[in-house]
Amino acid sequence: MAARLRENILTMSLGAVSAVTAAFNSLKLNGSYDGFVRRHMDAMMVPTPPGSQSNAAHRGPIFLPWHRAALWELETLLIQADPSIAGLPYWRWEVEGALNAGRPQNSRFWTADYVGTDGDSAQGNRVLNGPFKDWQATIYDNGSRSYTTRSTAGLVRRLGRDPSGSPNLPDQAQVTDALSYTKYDVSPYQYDTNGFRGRIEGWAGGPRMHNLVHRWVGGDMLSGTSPNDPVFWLHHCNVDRLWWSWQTRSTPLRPYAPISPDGPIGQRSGDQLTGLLGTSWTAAAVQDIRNAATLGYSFH
Amino acid sequence: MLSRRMLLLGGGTLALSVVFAVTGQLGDTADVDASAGDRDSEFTYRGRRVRLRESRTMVMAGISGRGEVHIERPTANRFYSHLVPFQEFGSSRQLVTTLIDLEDAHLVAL
Repeated sequence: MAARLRENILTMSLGAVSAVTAAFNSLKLNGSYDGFVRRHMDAMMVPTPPGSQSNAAHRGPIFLPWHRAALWELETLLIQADPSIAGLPYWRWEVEGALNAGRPQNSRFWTADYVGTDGDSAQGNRVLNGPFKDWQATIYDNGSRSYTTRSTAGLVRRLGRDPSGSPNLPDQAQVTDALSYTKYDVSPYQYDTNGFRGRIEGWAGGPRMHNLVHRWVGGDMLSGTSPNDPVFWLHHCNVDRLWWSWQTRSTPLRPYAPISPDGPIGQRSGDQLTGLLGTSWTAAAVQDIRNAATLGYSFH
Repeated sequence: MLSRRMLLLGGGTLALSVVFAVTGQLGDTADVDASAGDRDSEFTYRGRRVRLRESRTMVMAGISGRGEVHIERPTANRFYSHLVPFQEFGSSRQLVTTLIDLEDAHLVAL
């Protein structure tokens, strides 16, 4: 397996960006992309352990490993679609406010050359330009517990202006705060316990960090089917970069917590990750997915 | 300041009005209250009839006779749903009205 390199999308050539977005479109066309949307939503609905406030992918220590595994799976399919792709890019959202005079929606990230613009308020906040303009989202139907396809094209975005979202993106100060926590998570390992994971997911001292980015983008990024918008993956790739930065602040790597057999079942280092694509190349347990170097990728 | 117990027990229209004023979520859509006791309540929002059945740890929201929405309640005044999973709400009503807004925006089907 060739080494993968994950880069800041805004430092990549437009040709390289176009290769990535074309690969996203290939996965959307062959149906594999929507499988990622469904698995993310399904994982939301599996209390882990049963009866707790955490689920198989969120609101607990498992949050970072589960998304690292999902990113790795998607990245693998993107590279299979186009072997010229070095790796999944990341969107460094924490600097966008400072780089754009407090108006992160003015970043060139939100242009047709990258991921498309903000939604058009005159057209239901649909994004009708850029590489994903023809996408029809996968919608969860709570009444029938099933999935449907949105009848019309266009992702929904409301950058910083969704009444159900947030007007603010997290900034470097929030990143610095999260990185200052030396424990990955702390007992009793609830969704809002005050360790690195609780701060970066955004419940502890929140709303902040990961949660706040979803809410700032708004629209499709607000719901459990948030992977409908490919920005989801660039956002989570940045979260994964920050976790790796935190992990590598000591040698050996700063450890995950809880370490089996302590901690809630399903959230411990030796527990099986569930609700993923689950191919033969997907790591099986939390402790297997925690080392980016072993998984064959690095960040630039 | 509102006590958690006040919110837990429903607290009456005044308490809910304060919460909504602080969070600013209800907007200008008119609602009709039809309180049905401390733990059950009903209201109408954007043409949907909503019935809330609240317990100490969860809320079941029936919306216009369709499937119920399960709402987690980690504490007395914090409400969470996997349908809008990146935030918590100060009341179950605020959460349900947000879900209805999301349905109208074609982001989720209730």
